[in-house]
Amino acid sequence: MKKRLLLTLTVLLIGLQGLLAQSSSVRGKILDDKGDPIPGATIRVKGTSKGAVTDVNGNFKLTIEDGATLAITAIGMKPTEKSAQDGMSVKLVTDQQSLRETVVTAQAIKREKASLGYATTTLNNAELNNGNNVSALGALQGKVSGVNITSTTGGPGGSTRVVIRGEKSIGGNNNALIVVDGIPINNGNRTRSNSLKQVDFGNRGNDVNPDDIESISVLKGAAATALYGSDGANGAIMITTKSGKSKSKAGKNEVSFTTGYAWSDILKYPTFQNQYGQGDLNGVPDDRRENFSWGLPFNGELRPWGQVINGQQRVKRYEAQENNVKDFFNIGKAWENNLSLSGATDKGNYFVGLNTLNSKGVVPNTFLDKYSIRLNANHDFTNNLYSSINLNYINGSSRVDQGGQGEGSVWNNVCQQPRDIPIGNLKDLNNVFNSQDYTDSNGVRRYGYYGAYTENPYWVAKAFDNRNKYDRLIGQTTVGYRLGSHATISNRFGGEVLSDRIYLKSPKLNTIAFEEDFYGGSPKSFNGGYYESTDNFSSYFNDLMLSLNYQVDKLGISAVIGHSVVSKRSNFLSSNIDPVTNGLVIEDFYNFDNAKSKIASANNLSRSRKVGMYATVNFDFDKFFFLEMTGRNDWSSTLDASNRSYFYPSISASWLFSQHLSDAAKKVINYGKLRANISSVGNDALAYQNNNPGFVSTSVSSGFGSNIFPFNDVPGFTYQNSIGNSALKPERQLGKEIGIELAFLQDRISADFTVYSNTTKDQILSVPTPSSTGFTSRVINAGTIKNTGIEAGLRLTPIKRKGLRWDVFGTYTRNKNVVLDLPGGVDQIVLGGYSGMSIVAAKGKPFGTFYAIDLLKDANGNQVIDSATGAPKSTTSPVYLGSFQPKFMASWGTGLTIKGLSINVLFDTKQGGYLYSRTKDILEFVGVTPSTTLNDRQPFLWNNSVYENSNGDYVTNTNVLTDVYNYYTAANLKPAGQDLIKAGYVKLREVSIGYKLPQQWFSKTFIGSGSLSIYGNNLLIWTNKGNDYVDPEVNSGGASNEQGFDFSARPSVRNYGFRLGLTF
Amino acid sequence: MKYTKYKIVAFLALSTLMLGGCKKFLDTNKNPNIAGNLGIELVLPSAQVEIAHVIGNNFQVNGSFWSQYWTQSPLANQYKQYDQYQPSTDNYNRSWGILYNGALNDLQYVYKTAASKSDKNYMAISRLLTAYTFQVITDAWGDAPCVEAIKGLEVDGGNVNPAYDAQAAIYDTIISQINEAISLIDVNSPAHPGADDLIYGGDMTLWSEFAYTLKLKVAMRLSEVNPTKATALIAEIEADPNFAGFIADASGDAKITCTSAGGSENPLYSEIVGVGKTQNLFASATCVDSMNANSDPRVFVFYKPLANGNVVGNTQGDYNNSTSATGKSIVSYIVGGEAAQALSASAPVRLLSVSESLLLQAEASARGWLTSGDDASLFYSAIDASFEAYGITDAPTIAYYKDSTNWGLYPTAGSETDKIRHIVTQKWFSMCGNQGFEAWTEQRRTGYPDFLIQSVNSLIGSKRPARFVYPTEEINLNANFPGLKSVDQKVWWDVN
Repeated sequence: MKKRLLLTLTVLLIGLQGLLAQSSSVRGKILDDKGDPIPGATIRVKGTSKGAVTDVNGNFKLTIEDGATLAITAIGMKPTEKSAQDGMSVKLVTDQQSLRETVVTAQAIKREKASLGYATTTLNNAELNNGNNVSALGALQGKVSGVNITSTTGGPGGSTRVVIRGEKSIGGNNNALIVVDGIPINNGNRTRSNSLKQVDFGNRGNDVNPDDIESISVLKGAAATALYGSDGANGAIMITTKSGKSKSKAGKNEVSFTTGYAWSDILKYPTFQNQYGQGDLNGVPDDRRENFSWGLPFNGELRPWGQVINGQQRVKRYEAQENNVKDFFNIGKAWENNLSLSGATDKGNYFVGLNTLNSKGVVPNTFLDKYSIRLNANHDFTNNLYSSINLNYINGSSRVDQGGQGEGSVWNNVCQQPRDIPIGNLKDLNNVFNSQDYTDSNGVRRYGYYGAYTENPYWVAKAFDNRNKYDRLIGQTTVGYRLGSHATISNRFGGEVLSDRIYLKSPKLNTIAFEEDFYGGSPKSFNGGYYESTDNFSSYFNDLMLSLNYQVDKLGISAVIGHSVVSKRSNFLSSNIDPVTNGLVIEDFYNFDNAKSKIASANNLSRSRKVGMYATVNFDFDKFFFLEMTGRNDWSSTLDASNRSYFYPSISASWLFSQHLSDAAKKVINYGKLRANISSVGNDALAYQNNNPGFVSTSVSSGFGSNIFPFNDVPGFTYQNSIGNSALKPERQLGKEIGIELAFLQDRISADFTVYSNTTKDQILSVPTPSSTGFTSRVINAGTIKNTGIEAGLRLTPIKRKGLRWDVFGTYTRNKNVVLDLPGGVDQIVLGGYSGMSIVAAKGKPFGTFYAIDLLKDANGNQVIDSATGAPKSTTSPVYLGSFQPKFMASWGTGLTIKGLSINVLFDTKQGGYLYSRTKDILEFVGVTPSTTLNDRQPFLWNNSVYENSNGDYVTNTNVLTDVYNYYTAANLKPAGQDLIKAGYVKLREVSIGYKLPQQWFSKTFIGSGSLSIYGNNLLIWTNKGNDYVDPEVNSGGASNEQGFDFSARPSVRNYGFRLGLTF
Repeated sequence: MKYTKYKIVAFLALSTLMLGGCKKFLDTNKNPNIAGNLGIELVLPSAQVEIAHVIGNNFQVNGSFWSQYWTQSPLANQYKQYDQYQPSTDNYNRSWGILYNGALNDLQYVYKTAASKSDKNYMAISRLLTAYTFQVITDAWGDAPCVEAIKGLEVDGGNVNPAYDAQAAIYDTIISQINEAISLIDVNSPAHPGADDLIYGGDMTLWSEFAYTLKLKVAMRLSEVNPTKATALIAEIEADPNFAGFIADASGDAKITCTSAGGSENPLYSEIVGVGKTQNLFASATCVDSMNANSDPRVFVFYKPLANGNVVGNTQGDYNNSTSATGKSIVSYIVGGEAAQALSASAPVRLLSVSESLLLQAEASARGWLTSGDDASLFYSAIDASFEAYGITDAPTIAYYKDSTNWGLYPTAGSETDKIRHIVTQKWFSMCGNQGFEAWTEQRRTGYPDFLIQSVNSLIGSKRPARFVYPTEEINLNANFPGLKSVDQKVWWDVN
């Protein structure tokens, strides 16, 4: 492969040799009517076949005879002719705005959108930040077709998963690559979870400050990202940050300041029943200790509640506290400030951005603080040398609440508060009746909180302290040198260093109830624990590129030949005083000195490196037909030497057919483009997946209990559970797409439509093996996933007048995903799950299908009932239910600008997917949902039910009654499949009203201009019938492949606020 | 302009150079986070604890429920499925996994590595523990992967779908493994484990006793399905020139000692701590009532007496009746089951006990298969051993029990059936909550004790649980999985 590439390069060189031998030269710069440089403009010497193409900065250099005339053309600009003159600067006049759009493509190469043979979407800063989302990835929601974005918490700090054109990898990552100024950045998850708890500090891709972003280009297909190779297999989000150039004209400096304040509250609460209160009719009907609302119907009478403490007890009316869950949450607050300074000269420009974000979450004690500083600078030196530098330092610190089923889960404890408990009254932890830890007059430590089976949620929110702190430096520097008229050589070096720390404190507590006898079996007993991890991550990228361009008559040829080196290293250290198997000696002292016994520690060093060579050749035939071919070869450290080299090509074409239309026709169809491409991408393995198993220190666990070595001071090691595979070869993805872009009536109507398919095969998978092999998983190449889909975008501008503009737009995406093939003998691979429910990749099913026990139906779909007990029967083995992937996604929005006032509204929807909700499960278990009040909780005849008679036939059930209490609680008859809910939703994603303050206000001040906006995001939600429980976007798997899983995740929030912007 | 050409050539040359040097640059893929091949003394203890973890927790709880020592507390709900006789297939994933990919895999490494160095005593110990593990597996699940098991690594054949062997064939394998171990044990060799042998500290004489006792246990398990073979195996033991006796006293008790040190706790107690120290385990009236009726002092050891000094059990499976919880006893810390008592951490995990050895001999003797030894005296010695193991030393109490009670007094003049009934029932008492799985297994083999009741919440009516159900992971992952067996389907040797 290496040879082939070198051969290609040699041929190219020989071809160029003759062309480069010239003698005198003219330099020049081509600009648009705003004064911004035009890259890719063609300059032809009239009467000859000579020509040149401008570089990224609009510069060109030509060798010509004296007095020659230059014909200058650029897509979307009116052609011009000028006589040649050294140092000339030519301004072109815009002809077709829609053709002028440029896109930042792979390796940060700027290209005209019209010339691209693949689908892209570009958003500028204003489009991105309409809703003022603090997450740049979240802000893309509803704005780009073909992209499935899930924001887990809706508020600051949550995870945002971005999947472009469907889930492609079973074992690997499905998130799009995030590239900032040409440097791919780490988008790892900051989640921590186990079978009991789940803590989500968000994903790292969200660290970039949205306000620093000039534009985002979304590259959807493999062809678009082929030059990123393996890393770009899932598409790429190309972020370009602001530069001084874009903000201001040469010579003008600008200072801009924005400040915003936002509030957040819970978007969607579960629906609760308000008929029955605390107690357990099958046990003690008015049980004061209970988390159950399976008690007596409300009667409004005065009734004591909670414990008797020193002869006293609280009294309240026995009635529903309809807003008790709502009362628990605070209004979240976020204050964001951005200060930027920018300036430019004709040779260079700079941008400095400072950002602060201080927020308090809806759960008491939670917060997120983020500070970032950015420096971007460019300079053109006189001697053909140019350079740029981008540096971004980010410091983040947050405290989040814990989800899951453990005692540290705030939401789990809120969910289990009976309907008559005034949760808001539990807030004062010093009040003995609310206390979890109160020393009585005899020095005995007791709890006065009423619940024997729950903890006071305020105490949980205070005592379980989960924090994340990180420092991150991302940067790049590019140095380029123009080699004559046709070649530029440039080198970009960049990368990041990241230090990410996570601290999880869980309190040690040992208290008994004041009413020892009545509460006897339920002490509050926690061992306490402390977890700390540090991930020291660094990555370095170096790209050396040679760009060539040549113009022969109407044929433009340009090529890029590049060499890239990537090196990544993660040193992950974690230590854990496990609250289950270990514990703290002293309370409230979170230090590794304070462990009862051996601390489980792990250091995990992971290194991977990759070297690549790539080439791309573009042909431009008279600015109406474009052909691009790319080829790349990678050598990866994670594969064995014999398999580490892999090549992948792509070819794409674009035909700007509107160029052939008559002027009359152009008035109707002013822009029309057909495009098509086919591409292949390879992907390597994770570090060490090809290693043979070694030994690790032994730790045996049967779920909740464990034995850990050294066992009674004797050390012990055991075989690792995974079998490596030295024969691993790269995974392969084949993508195809065809699309059309149209604009009518001078851009009043524009449309973009794409049909695509991508198939990923030879996936590198860690597949489970039966333990009877001695191992629980092995790494193999197998499995095929296919995605086919359509994506469409439409924009209408019904009104466009001076000072008034109205736009309406929408996107539609439909992706069909199927797992075509899995390795021999395996029907499915488990991606995640929870007691009785698995999320799997199963053959013939969409990726991420739920697999669970469900209610047993007969052939006619009737529920089978046990004739003796009335219990509904369940399937004896799990069955496949829906998938977490939506069937389609759509968005529609509108924007109205009236002079200085602009209004933007955006709705989006996902329909057809499923979600497993443990929130539903626990709410029903404790009897607080309306579903648990069925038939006034009296035994009922199950609709359309049958039972098996003595002949083994199913007969219609007319007399056997089912017990509601048994179904939801006592006998746990409800199978896990019944906790799947339809995950469809429609959201009012963003609303913003912006007002450009009248200029005259500032005429006598130092302020240049001002703007004020009010905005909101994640504002309203409509869910599918049957979902009375959660916002389907909540997800406990963060941005991992484990999606559609509400593991008692705290409800998502809506955000709304105002923002003031000033420039000086 | 001329330079351009050279610059481009230089660029390509540079790239090629970087490529040439990349072989070394890319050789970074050796995992630094795992240890390479290591000494067997570091692996043997892992295997022992892995076995003990399963026997002492999941098997202990399941066995003790189905032996009717323990029942689910009406105030909690962790173990309802056992009292319903309807355990889920998910319930056994961990045990199955720990036994196969933990214990058996580690034991295979110990055996192969020891064999490469002719380290006979390590080979013998790993073989014995392998045989022990396979017996536990097949007694629990019946047919199971054996010959093709633990062959996932390429060097071992790369078999990722091990076929199931019939239980009879697994028993043949177990017997040959024990015989191999017997032939390997060299009590005079200085090469033997030390502190890394958590069971006997490397005492090969005790391992020899263990080997013959295990062989006797295996033989006796075949008493109903193949008495001829059982007899022959016992005869083989007695004829063996190396045979120097079965496990005879407390030093031979095959157990893992647990302590309160984190990670070294009794695995059942560790589990209880993990579920927030919830007291799920209640005393079952089935066992408590018959112990009380026989003035069995062990009732005060295996259960926690109430404030009034009595031990009262709850009806097996009556967990839905929360009022029944009042005035009932819980399981004691002696067997690791008392949630609020930290001493539960120190309950040992018994794999093969002295009293078990003596009662196996007594039964073999009563059947006339074991010619050495007297069944009555073995029976009484077993009671002594059981009492001794739990610190019961009060002579009058012991004497009264042995002289005057139904189950303490051996029917010397009785029928063989009655003798076996007494021996196995006595074994049942002695294994209360400390060898729960073995007690349930012996009950399946012999039908004794014959006074177990139907759990109040039985979901299989009057049928008895006769096996563990196969774990979900095998059902889902092993292409050679032969099909589900319901909990009431008997295993091969269970013919009565």
